[in-house]
Amino acid sequence: MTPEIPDEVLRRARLGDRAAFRALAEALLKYTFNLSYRMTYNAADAEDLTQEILLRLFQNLGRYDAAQPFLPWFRRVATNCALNWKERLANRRTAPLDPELAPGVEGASPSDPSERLRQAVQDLPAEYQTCLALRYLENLGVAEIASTMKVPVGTVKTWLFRAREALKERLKPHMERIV
Amino acid sequence: MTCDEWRLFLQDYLDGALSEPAKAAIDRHLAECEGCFADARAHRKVQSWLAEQPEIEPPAGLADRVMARLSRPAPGWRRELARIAAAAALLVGLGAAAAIATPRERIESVRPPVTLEAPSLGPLLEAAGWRP
Ligand SMILES: [Zn+2]
Repeated sequence: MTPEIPDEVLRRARLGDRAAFRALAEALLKYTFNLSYRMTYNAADAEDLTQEILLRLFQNLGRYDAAQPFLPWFRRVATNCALNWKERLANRRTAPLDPELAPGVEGASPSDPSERLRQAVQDLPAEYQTCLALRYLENLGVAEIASTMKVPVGTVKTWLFRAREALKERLKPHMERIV
Repeated sequence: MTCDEWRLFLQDYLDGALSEPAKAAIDRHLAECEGCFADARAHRKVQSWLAEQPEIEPPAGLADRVMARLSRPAPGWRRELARIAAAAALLVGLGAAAAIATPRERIESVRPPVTLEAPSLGPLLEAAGWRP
């Protein structure tokens, strides 16, 4: 999924034109919401994060260098914002969960493999979630993910591998039901 | 091909990016090794689940809510403004109370050194980024 941004909309939005910024936000809305959903797997959190990302875009649009392609720049703004947002959320939610509700607790895990995987992704470190979102939402290559996240290519490979390993381990005990 | 070796090619194997002989070598190992066969199946399941996650539609009105948030100061600034306004009201109130309840000669000692009055808030708020 790759959003299409008309040049004229971008140019006018950079000059502070509200209507153009709205058009820009609308052009980016579905992409941003899907990216946010894959960082949260929760519709309410995804909406909150989408709003944060688009507000951050508005605040930073003046710093965007129009000589550079827009989407890679926006991806960096969005993923930075998402990682900060997840950190703040983690700090707010450090209170111990009710063990009955905590994910991964035997007996509380859903039997639906798709739901188990969703829970497993929710439990991954935010950096792994970002890699997975960029890789599987947009089919981005490892090099593009690395330049978005400003980390070495090897780090992205390691994160993607560990993420899939962790998901696979969560799924494995239930493989006989999936085939 | 050993249990460790084939894993080095796992991603390309899952992506279907391996040469035919390399793929055949891995398939031979998986056919003989129950543990690796289960492992490869789990990896394939995870890969296809990740790749097949449907795109979802944003909730109705989300663009409106984003634009509405652009039109008001950030929550941090709103708290700050409320604090400034409360402090100003308190100072003005203190001054008035002092004027009423205190003998004239004590007013100077009660009155705070700096008195914020409503008209002086304008430039302060503007400096704080507030746009009425
Ligand atoms: Zn083996």
